[in-house]
Amino acid sequence: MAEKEKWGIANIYSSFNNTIITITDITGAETITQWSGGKVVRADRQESSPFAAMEAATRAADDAKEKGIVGLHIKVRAPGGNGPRTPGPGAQAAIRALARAGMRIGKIEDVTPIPHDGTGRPGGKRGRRV
Amino acid sequence: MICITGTPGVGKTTVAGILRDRGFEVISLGELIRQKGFVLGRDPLRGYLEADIEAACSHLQEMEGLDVVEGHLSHLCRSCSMVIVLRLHPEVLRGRLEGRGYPEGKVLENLEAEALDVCTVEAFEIHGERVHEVDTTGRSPHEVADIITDIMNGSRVCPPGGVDFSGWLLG
Ligand SMILES: Nc1ncnc2c1ncn2[C@@H]1O[C@H](COP(=O)(O)OP(=O)(O)O)[C@@H](O)[C@H]1O
Ligand SMILES: [Mg+2]
Repeated sequence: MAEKEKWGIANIYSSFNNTIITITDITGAETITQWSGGKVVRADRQESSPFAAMEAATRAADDAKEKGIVGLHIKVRAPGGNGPRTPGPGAQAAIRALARAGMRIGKIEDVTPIPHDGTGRPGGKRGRRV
Repeated sequence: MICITGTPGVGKTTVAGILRDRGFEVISLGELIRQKGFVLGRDPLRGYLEADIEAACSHLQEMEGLDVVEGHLSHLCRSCSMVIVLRLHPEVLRGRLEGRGYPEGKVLENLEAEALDVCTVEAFEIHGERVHEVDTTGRSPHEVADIITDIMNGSRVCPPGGVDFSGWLLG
């Protein structure tokens, strides 16, 4: 029965130096698991590599599966676009790894924070592909 | 023209004031945007004035004798000869933004932006090796101004990626 299927939310944070994946229940209130690139690879400079992001995502997916979660809605916070010198290419790699680990992927939302005081850049909802 | 950027509250205006005292020609991009009306509209969710970056940056390019532009949007100007991103640990930044009376949501979004290196990443995508990053945490405005002066005259290099506040995101 569809109503028995448990879904969660995967928050993916991708910075210059690191990628962090936090999986919560569907309400966002309870954290089920959290992995960071820095925790799964040894060398500091590898933390932000797609490899580290994939590793972190795979472990997060395994933890979530163990808790009976079958699918994830995704919230991405990743300032980098897709340019040739984009640092922190971890977000895309993480999403692919979640899917490869057997998670069903639902809605993908870009909720990258925007620095602002009284002024800010246009396009608050950036609508970038993720 | 060098551009000093960073999340609101990190100390850009303060340090730019010191550079002005030291003889540099300095302008605030935020003030310019308001004074000249380089505005496209209002952000529907947050209410801030959406800057017309292209218009503001072309205006800057036509100004003569300008040494320093400060503002959290300044790195979006392609004509920066050098970008200096000021950084501040999110926990310290929280106190400054709360001190400004920002609502909780606005404080948190800026703190998250700081922890995710938003200004550094954006600056790096546009300017590459011309970007320098300075952690101001625990440093006085004069110390920060000294570091910036060193970077400007080439005696100091602070490549981006040297600051990592991602630990703050781990609950
Ligand atoms: N290096 C510093 N150490 C301590 N306080 C600072 C420092 N730089 C700025 N401040 C204080 O922090 C607040 C925000 O600084 P401001 O220069 O207005 O930031 P910004 O222009 O980046 O938004 C001000 O109250 C200022 O006095
Ligand atoms: Mg300011």
